[in-house]
Parts: sequence; structure tokens; C-alpha cells
Amino acid sequence: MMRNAGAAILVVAGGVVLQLTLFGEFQNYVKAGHRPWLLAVGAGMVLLGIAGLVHEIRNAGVSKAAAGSRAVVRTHGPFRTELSIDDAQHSDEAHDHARVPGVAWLLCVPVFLVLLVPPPALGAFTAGRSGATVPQPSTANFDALPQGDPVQLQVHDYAERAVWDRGRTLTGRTVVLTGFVTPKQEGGWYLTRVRISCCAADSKSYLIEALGTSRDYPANTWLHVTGRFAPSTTSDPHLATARLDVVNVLPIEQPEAPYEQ
Amino acid sequence: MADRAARERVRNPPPRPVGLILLTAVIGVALVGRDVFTFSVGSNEAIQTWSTIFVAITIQALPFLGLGVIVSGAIAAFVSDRVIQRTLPRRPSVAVPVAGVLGAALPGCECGSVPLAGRLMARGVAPSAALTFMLSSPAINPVVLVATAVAFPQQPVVVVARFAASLCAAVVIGLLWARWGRAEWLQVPRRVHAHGDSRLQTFRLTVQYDFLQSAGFLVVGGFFAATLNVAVDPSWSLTVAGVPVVSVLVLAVLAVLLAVCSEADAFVAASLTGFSLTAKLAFMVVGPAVDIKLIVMQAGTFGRRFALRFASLTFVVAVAIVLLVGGLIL
Repeated sequence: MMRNAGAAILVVAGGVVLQLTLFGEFQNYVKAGHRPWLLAVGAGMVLLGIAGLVHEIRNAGVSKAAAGSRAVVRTHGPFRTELSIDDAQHSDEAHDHARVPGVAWLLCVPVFLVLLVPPPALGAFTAGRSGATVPQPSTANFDALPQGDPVQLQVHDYAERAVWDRGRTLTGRTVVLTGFVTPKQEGGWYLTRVRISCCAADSKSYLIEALGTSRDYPANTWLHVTGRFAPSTTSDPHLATARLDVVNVLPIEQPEAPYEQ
Repeated sequence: MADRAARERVRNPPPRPVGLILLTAVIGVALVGRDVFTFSVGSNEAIQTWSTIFVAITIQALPFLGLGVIVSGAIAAFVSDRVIQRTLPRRPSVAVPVAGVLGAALPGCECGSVPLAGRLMARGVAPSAALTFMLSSPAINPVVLVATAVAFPQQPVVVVARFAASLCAAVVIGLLWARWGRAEWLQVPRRVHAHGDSRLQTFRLTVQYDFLQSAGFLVVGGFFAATLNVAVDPSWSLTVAGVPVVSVLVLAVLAVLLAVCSEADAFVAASLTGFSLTAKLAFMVVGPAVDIKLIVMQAGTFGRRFALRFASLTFVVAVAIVLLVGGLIL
């Protein structure tokens, strides 16, 4: 039993993918839209692994019954080898056992990482490295904000409007933003959100300087912040920082989807 | 005869009690693993960020890898030699361009197309054609082109440029390989089916083998990509953003180091403020063709001698074609 280690690796790794997607925090790593694909590949891995194990158990029974017979394994291709296996005991694993590439064991590394110390969502460390300038948006046309007072906005939306449109659509409005705290070196903090387009490897950070608040929060504290637009200190959007006059702060739990898209 | 039996034993060492080892490892890790991991990983923010990106790269690639190995399993098990010969004839001058255009049909990521190219070779497709397919499939498929259009909303010409440059690069590299590539550089994957297996068994074994091998090398590649992602500060590239040819080279190198998935690289490229469109095009054409994670996967599938030569060739050709296409239409 369990000679087909490859099948066992598949079942375990696939099970972890399923667990992470169904009950866990897969959105710390990839965007929510990947959920169906992850479910499909997780289920596929588990099924493939089970099929391998079932095949092996059946095969073990067959080869015992056929003890004494000979098995021949041929491999094709440029490294043509023909193995004659004289010992019938070995016939079943010649089938499957030989086919586990050693490198497959490395799949255990991310599996253990996820099970034992699930890596957290990208936060203040990443944002602090990227700096407080706002990445250039793909469009220069910003529509008027939706109705409502206060109006709920995404952090990257606010930052882009504030810097790349000089706050034209934000002036005179009260906004509610959800993000986490990135402390400033000289005291004070930025309201921050990380944005991904596919997975955490392609992240962009959006930082908004919080004005008019004397209270400091630890890094990575999640907040609902109500506030009003404050203009940047420089008019060059490549250098400007988005700013917000804070009216009210409400600490919250990390949302299920930590990244904006 | 005794000699031969001894040789067989060397080739097939007696089975190790894998189940026992696995069980011991699981129990051991469960007992002390959390403390060891928390001690080494949990306390340091840079390592935490690294492990988030490492897990993210691995997880987001798995579905594309799955799709890739299902197709490669099907090619190994269900597609007849005649169909393959008809679609991709042995003459590279015909097969290479056909393979390049066929790449547009498979919505995959670059990781999934590596085992697929291996299976095509194992079925007798000319290596140059299989390599062209491996390069074009992640670069010019519809999903990637739509993502590019979304990332560059005001500039549809970028989509055209990306399609043209990636297809040209794939075909040119294939033709160069057909002309000057040597068979001994390339280690073609063996067919994994034992004599007498049914087609379904061949399918299952091929899918299992290819998935495990590619996923294993994906983990290695993700390890390096996450390390560089954390270690390389993208702002160093900003200092050269305005310099014409150097900026193209810098973004090409950045694409190799960051190993962003081809479905997402357009968004990263679009946000690199200050760079010319040609430089951004270099990021999008080089990335799906050669990056740190792909080099590792190709070294695992086709051998190290192949991977180094092929990566250098691909990088040079891709950058040259980007400069050409960028100069012509951007």
C-alpha cells in the first residue's frame, strides 16, 4: 500500500486547495474570480489521486493472484529501454511507482505553509516599500461620483481621482473608505489598500495620507474612515500623494476580500 | 543473467516504505512544525510577504497547469498519429507557423504549455514546432488579448502590437531552432505508458506524471520568483524610464525577474508610469516567453542544457522583435 506516493501527494495537495477555497482565505492570495477554477483543479487533483490509489489496490490483488508470471515494461522515445521484470512481486509498482518525479515532493512546501502558518494578506510592509505616489490609472476620464452622502468609494478610486484628476469629482463630497493602516515614519498614518489584477504577485499599493487625526493605530489595523477630500501639496501627479481630511474612524475586522481589483 | 538482474536492481531499487515515511513526516511536522515555522516565518515581515507571494504564485498557476496537463494527457492517449501528422507535418518550415497560430486557440498560462510541448514532442511533433506552440499559446490567446485591451483602454494598437510581436517571436525562434538547434541539447520526455495499458490508463498516468512534475518545478520557480519579487524594488527601473533602448531592456529584464502570469502582466505593464509603449510591450512579450519560473520548469522538463540556450535565444529574439514592432506601429 501507499507505494503510489504521487497519488497520495495529489490527494493531500488537492484537498488543501479545496479547503482553502471553500473554507479558507484564498482571497489573501488570488482574486475572488479564481474560485471556480480553484475548485475545479482541487477536485480534479483529489479524483486523480483517488483513481491512482484505487488502481493500485486492485492491481496489487491481481499481481498476487498472478504470482510467478512475468511483466514487461517498455518505454518509448529516444531513451528506449526495455525492462524485463522477472520478479512478479515488483510488477505492480513497475506500473505506477516508477512514475513519481522526485520534484513532486516539493508540493508539500506550500501545503505545509498554508496549513501551519497561513501567510497573511499583503499589508503595510508591501505598501511602505512601494511609496505613497499613486500608480497611473489606465483612463483619464473620471465620471461624477454616485449619489449619496457619505458615498462609499474604493481606496484606489479615491487616490486616482485625488491625484490624477486633482480631486475635481471629489470636492465638496464626504466619502467612506475601507483600508488598513500604514504608519508614516514621521508619525501619523496612511489609509492603505492593495490592489491585485490576478494574484498577490502583481500587487499595487494605494496610500492616502490621513489628515486631522492625532490618534495612531498599529500597522495593518483595518478601518472604516469617513472624510473629505484634501488637495495634494504638489500638482505633478507623478509625485503627488492623495490626502483626506478625516472626520470619523471606525476599527473593523479584515474584510473577506482584502484586495481591491 | 545475474549481471543483468543486478543492473535491474540498481535501476529499480527495492521499494522504500513510502507510507511510513509520509506518516512520520506528517506527525513530525504536526508536532514541531508550527513552532519551527512560526519562529522562522511568522516573525519577519519580509519573509511573511515572501511566503504570501510564493503561495499566491503557486495557487494561481494550478488551474492553468491542470488545463495544460489534461490537454497533454489527451494528446498522449487519445489523438491518433495520423491527426498529429496532418495538423503538424514533420517539415518545420510548414509546422512552425501552423503551431504558432494554433497557440491562439488554447487559453492557457505559460506554466501549462511547458508539459504540453513535451507531450507534443513525445508524439513525434518536430521540436521546433512544439517550442513555437509553447511560446505562442500563453502570449496570444484570447484571454490574454482581452486582458491587454482592458489594461490599455485608449490604445487598441497595443493589443495588435502584442499579438504581432509575440507571434513573430514564437515563429522566428521555432525556425531558428529548426535550423541550428541540436537534438542532443533537448531531452524529450518519455511516453508514460506501460505495454498493454488501456488508453484511459495512459491518460491517467500521463496527467498524473505531468502534473506532479510541472507542479514541482512550479514550486521551485515560484520560490525564485517570490524571492526576486520581494528583493527587487521596482522603483530602480524608474530612473531609466525615459532612455529609449535601455528602458526596453530594463523592462525586459524586469519581466524575467518578476515572473508575472501572462494573464496579469498587461495590468502591471500599464501601471509602469513613465515608460514608453515599446518598453511596456517588451515587458508583455518577454514575460510569457522567458521568465525565472519558466526557465526552472523548462530545465526540469527538457534538461538544463536546453533551458539555458533556449532562454538566451528567446530573450534576444523577443527584444529584437519588440524594438522592430514598436518602431513600426507604436
